[in-house]
Amino acid sequence: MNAMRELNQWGHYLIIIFVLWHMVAITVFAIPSMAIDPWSRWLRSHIQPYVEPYLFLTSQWQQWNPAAPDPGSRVTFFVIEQQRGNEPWQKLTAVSPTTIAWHRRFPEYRIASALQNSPLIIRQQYLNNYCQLYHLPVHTHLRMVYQWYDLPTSLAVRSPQLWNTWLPQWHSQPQFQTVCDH
Amino acid sequence: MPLRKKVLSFFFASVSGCGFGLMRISWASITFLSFLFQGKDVIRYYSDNGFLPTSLAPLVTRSAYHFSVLTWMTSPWLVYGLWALLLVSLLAAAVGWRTRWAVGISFLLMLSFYERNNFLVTGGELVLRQLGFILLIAPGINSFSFDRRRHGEPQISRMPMWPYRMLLWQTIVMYGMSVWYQKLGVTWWQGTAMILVFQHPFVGLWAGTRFFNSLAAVSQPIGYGLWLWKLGWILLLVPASWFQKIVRRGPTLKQWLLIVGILFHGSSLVLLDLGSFSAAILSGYWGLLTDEDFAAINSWVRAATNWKQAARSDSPDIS
Repeated sequence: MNAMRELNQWGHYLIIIFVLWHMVAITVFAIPSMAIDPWSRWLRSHIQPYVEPYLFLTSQWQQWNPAAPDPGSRVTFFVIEQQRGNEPWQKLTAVSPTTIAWHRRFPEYRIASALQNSPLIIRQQYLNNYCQLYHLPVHTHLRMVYQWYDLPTSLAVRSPQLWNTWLPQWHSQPQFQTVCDH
Repeated sequence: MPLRKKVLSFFFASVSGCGFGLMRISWASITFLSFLFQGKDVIRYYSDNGFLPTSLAPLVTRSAYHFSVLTWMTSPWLVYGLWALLLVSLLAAAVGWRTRWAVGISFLLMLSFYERNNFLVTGGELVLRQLGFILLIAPGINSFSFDRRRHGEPQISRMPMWPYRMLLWQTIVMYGMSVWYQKLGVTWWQGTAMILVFQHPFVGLWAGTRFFNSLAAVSQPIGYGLWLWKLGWILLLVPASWFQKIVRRGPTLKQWLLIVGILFHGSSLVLLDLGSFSAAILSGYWGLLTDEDFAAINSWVRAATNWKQAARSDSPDIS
């Protein structure tokens, strides 16, 4: 009976150690990657390597940077254009607020945005995927065109009057392309 | 009380499993919906026929300590099968059928999908993963379940305090680090950050309307108010009894933080497109409710009902 109670108590201590370990691990990893104060840098270089295996394997890694350090001020619509033979480029589809169903808008925008900083081969693969999606003939050319404008960020934007009259200044630029090969 | 007992009681005092039971139902339902909405894109997002085949995935995802069932199961039909299995296990977790197994399979598959394509992991997915992990290891998560009904047990279980402590710490870290991150920018200090959020057409559901334009005038107080509220969660590290000495009546500090949180995340659900973020956080709030909070909710509901009845009996008879 005593042995059982002792075992139970050791189990309790193990759980406490695990809970504390988990708390330390998630806190250290969640320190903003942009923080450059000495404490943050020390924790990142000395403690983070020890907690990473646990956090990665349990998928508990985390950085809390939505709308941080600043919310994005660039609004980009991602337009996919096709060209067959010598015909002019034509719009195939777009990732924009009005072209995608509400329940798919967030992930599609998320992917298209993240692709901007991805290697070219992945961006081309993304485009190439549209060949299958739209059953495009072989040798169809596809290109991604970014259409964007910047939201103003000066202090004047705190006035509602400014927004009632403000109009975006659109820019457009083809970015990368691919050819449907199957 | 000796320190050893105090520590044991801090982590192992018995609490109602009602909050964690409701959190399980809510977590499973929201995760179910978010994966169901991806139905049309499962092959494109997660299989070798999609835009991120396993041969290219290491270019954008880490390879160290990487675990995903989908690393080995890459063919479109297998991926579809796993997606269907995930939906079934989430349903089972929601209704509490073979609860522990259902939560375990759901969590394993959920993290497999998220780790397979990191492009899709945003704040909402982070929260759903953390709730899933805590539910997986917490005892007594089967309140309001078929399992308890089948065994003829009362619908509300009891559980030790430590999963609640983990969840509360996770919430404090989430809000605290988010303020720290925002503090490193410029627009949050200027008071213009919320305007950028409202006016971004992918985020603000009513961007460009007169209503959203008028919110520009209150962007600064909203931004600072959010910081204050998020930092308020850190005060929960101070023993609650200290606050009770200052404010003797009404909701506790945690209850106030939860009420503001419900208002903030609830309005985000209606005004902004943040994916599953707001709904995921609100489902985590269930787990933060202890016996004391449920008693408070009961008394508020009773007081509201009594007040209604009293108002009705006081009103003049005009018949």
